[in-house]
Amino acid sequence: MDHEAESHGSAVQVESFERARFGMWLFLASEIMFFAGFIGAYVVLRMANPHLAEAAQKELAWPLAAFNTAVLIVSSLTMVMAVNAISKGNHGKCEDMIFVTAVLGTLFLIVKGFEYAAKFDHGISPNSSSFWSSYFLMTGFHGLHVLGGIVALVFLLFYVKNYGPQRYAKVENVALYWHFVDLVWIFLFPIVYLL
Amino acid sequence: MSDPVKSTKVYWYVFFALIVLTIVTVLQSRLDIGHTTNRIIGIVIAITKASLVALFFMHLKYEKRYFYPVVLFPLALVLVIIFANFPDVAFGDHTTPGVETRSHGGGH
Repeated sequence: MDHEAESHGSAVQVESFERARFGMWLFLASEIMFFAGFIGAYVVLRMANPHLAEAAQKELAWPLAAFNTAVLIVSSLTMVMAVNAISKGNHGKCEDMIFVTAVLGTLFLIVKGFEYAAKFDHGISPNSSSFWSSYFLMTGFHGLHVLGGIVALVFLLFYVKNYGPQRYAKVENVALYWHFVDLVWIFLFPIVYLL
Repeated sequence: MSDPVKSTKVYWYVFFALIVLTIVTVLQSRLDIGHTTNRIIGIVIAITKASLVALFFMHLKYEKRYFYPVVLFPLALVLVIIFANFPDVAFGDHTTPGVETRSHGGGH
């Protein structure tokens, strides 16, 4: 599709940006497989022991998770606004949006932290049952991905000014990663908390 | 090089769709229409939401076609990973001593 080569750079640059995005998609493909392993194990363990999930889901705080879902969706919106702003040359707005995205990511982790603390208070840990090991593995590694995303965002926030013509590609690639983290949660929320 | 989506209106529409679909997911999971139906609707909504994020927020809709196999191939493998183990857990007869026996084709 048309990426407006004429207004912001040469055809060579457009191609190099496209390769950068393609590289990110390849990385995300490997991430899809990483989470697929956990989700596959979860589905199988759960089908083999349906009663464990029924009992465990009574302990799960779905309203908290629903709130966190909304937080991540809003953060995806602010991230895409950052990409849009940088493509229009609006550094100030881009930085603001990256900052808001990082704050929302942190809010997600804080809520998650309270959720984990409540579980430990009730004596629930990863070795309580196969449901809980899956729960902690999936949400734990998802949380680590959110943390990784926040680190990338903070890095971007400080350096986006210095990047020169490649800045769009950098912001867009961090955005791709951030949306992927949101995407994983879009599946985890219903399969773990609701269904 | 720039954002292929010029008007941020598109992003707002996608955002509202995602929020509405999240609310629908929660509401439908409370409905007493059978656990299997709840699950099918829930997964279909999740796939719809994920597609919206990938196509619009991640700009997949605006990428060249050679990007698509990179995304679709792992998704096919995801289905293999999940369903390859189904015959045992869904239909297997777990009657080994010490292992809990379950009914065939359980409705859960």
